[in-house]
Amino acid sequence: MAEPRFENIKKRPGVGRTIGLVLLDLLAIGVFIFCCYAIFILKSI
Amino acid sequence: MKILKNRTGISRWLSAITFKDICAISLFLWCYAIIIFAFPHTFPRFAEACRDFGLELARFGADFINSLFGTDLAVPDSALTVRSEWIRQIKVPTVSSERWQAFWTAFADKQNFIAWLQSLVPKVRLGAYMLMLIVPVIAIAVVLYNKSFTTYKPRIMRSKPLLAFDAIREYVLRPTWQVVKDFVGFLNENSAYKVAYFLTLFFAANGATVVLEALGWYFYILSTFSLSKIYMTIYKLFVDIVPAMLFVPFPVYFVSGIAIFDRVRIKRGYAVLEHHEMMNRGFIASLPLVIFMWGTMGSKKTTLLVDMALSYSAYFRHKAYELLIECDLLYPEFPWLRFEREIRDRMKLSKGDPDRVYNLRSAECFVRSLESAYTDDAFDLWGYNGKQTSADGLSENRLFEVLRDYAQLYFIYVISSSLIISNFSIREDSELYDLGNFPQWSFDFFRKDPASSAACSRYSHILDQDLLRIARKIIRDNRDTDGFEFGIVCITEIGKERGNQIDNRKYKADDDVANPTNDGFNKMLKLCRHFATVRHFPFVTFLLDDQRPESLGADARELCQLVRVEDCSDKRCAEPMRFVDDYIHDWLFARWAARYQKFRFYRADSTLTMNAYKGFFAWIHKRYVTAHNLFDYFKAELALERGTREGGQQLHPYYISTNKVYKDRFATDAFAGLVDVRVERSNAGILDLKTYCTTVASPKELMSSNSYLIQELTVMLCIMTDRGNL
Repeated sequence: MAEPRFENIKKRPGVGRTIGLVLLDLLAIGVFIFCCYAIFILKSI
Repeated sequence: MKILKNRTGISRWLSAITFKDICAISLFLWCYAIIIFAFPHTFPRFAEACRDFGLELARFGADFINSLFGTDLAVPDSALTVRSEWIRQIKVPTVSSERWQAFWTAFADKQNFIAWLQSLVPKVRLGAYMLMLIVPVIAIAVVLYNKSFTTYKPRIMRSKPLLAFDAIREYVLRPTWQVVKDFVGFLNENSAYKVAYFLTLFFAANGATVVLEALGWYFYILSTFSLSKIYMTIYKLFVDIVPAMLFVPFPVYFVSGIAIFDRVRIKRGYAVLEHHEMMNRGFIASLPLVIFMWGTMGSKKTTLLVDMALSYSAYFRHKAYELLIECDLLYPEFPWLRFEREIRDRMKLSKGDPDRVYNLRSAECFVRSLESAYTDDAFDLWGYNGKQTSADGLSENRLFEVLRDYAQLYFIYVISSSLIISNFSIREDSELYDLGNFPQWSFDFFRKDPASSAACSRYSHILDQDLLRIARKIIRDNRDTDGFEFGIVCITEIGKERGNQIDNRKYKADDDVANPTNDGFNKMLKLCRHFATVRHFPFVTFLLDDQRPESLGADARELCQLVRVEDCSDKRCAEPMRFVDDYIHDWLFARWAARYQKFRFYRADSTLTMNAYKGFFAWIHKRYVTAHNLFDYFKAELALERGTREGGQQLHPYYISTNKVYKDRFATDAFAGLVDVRVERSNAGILDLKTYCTTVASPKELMSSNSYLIQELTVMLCIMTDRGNL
């Protein structure tokens, strides 16, 4: 039963999921900065 | 052909070479060029691996013979050393405690961090300049693009870029794609090319070298039991595989990674659905024989009924198989296959033949005839002269009793038609595989694509209600309706069919014509297991549904297990991490839908941009819908209650998979065929119905509603004229 979920786009994501996604984004940015800095240090020693 | 015959072998072979062969061989040569130019160390490393493997094998052999026979064969030195100049040139990475400490000291140094930030400044500056240029360009493009959606164009036409693209697609893309498809098909047909490509690329990626080195290392470990060279071995392994890994571009890894991830989660999704199905079967196995599903319209009671019927169908066949194995093990030396073939031969006889096996009783008669022939020494039972009883602690299990059970179970198992008998159509797509020995059923509800599912469709049997009337029948003297024995009987709207005591007051039990009070239907419900029990298991169940249990008379209702869908969850997806795709889809959908709505409102023409946009979104949306159709499920909480409505309710979970029950299994408007005839007779539709003129209806408008209430009020309030007009 193909049921295109037009109603889904009207739903706002839950607060918990939004906070979770923001935290995940911050974690990804943090890991990216850590890796860049670590490569910089590794090249220099 | 004549010309070919006159040619020599080589020229005939050459003339058989087609253009596709030349392309395939060219591709093969190109692969070799890759080895020579992109991986110059492949051949030297392969030669070295051959030598390593040969020496390690010789070393292991000499060591083995020396230890076994006490000889003194010379054992060569270990070959697992770095000899290749190529490998020697590469610096072996080492991790020392000093280096580790130095890293973290440098890492935690404030000056280093500031230096790193300063090193970023030129890059950030460059980025800023780029943004200064790019952002205005993008902003202007977006404004123009959005404006194009709201430019009024009333003429139905295709834009010039779209016409140009249509031409390119017709004369370039489609033929090219066809050629590529043909070539891939040609390669698939000629597996020699595929093997050659695989071996070449495997060789180019140092695969053969790695395999030989691994075997060499294996023999080295066998003869030395030393792990001292493990670091160097792993390092060599990396050195061997890294060139090939670096050769493959990043997008290939990205796409392959997504494809592998998708494959893993699809596998997991199917595993979850199958687990749910097994839990459902465990649940239905615990239910009594007559089940009444009730609830308001749209509460998924018919869906639940169909889902249960499909599960029962699989459960009965599986149960028959289990019991067949049980019988088989009681007489392991009996020639069961010959017995089965005899049954199948008799099943093929035409209707009316006295030897035909067509139901459980005729199977029993067949075994009885065998027994009498065997007792008279007229039949040797396919060479079997073993034991005649096989006690299992409860009964003796006489041979012919077991044969009777086996024949009946085999009949239930092997008939390819549906086991469901229903008053609305239910589609099954289970498959019976048969090589002429013991057939095998496949009850995979989830993995069949719609085309293969449709190809093996079988529909439920039409329920002639006379089958269930053991007293008076609508059509008297129809002996075919005496043949009901086993199966899954599904009756939707049972209350409307049978009625309750109040509905049936108009009927009399001594009427000549069959009616709900004299047809013996309720007795059939009570006695159904006596027709269908084989080896102590009743192969029958009644699945009924209606809006209210009270719609069915108490005599029948109180036999039932009442089942109501108390609560049904929102759709959940069995496939893990699907929410990531859903977010991407919903984000895109919101943007696409808004633009598309504007476009459809203002413009009648077709543009290349909108077609491309729509085509891309259609692809994303199809993936989304397909994944949800395949892996979505509802977790229903079923409230179980006795038919007598005593003892309270028990809740039990039941999983309804959309992939199983909505795969064109049934029509929720099952009786639409009859209703359509009534509607077709009418010449009026909703457009022809009158509408009110104001918010307060006039007396004429009210009277046109033909309402009992309005008619009564009209009379009471004396607003009718003597002639009946307002």
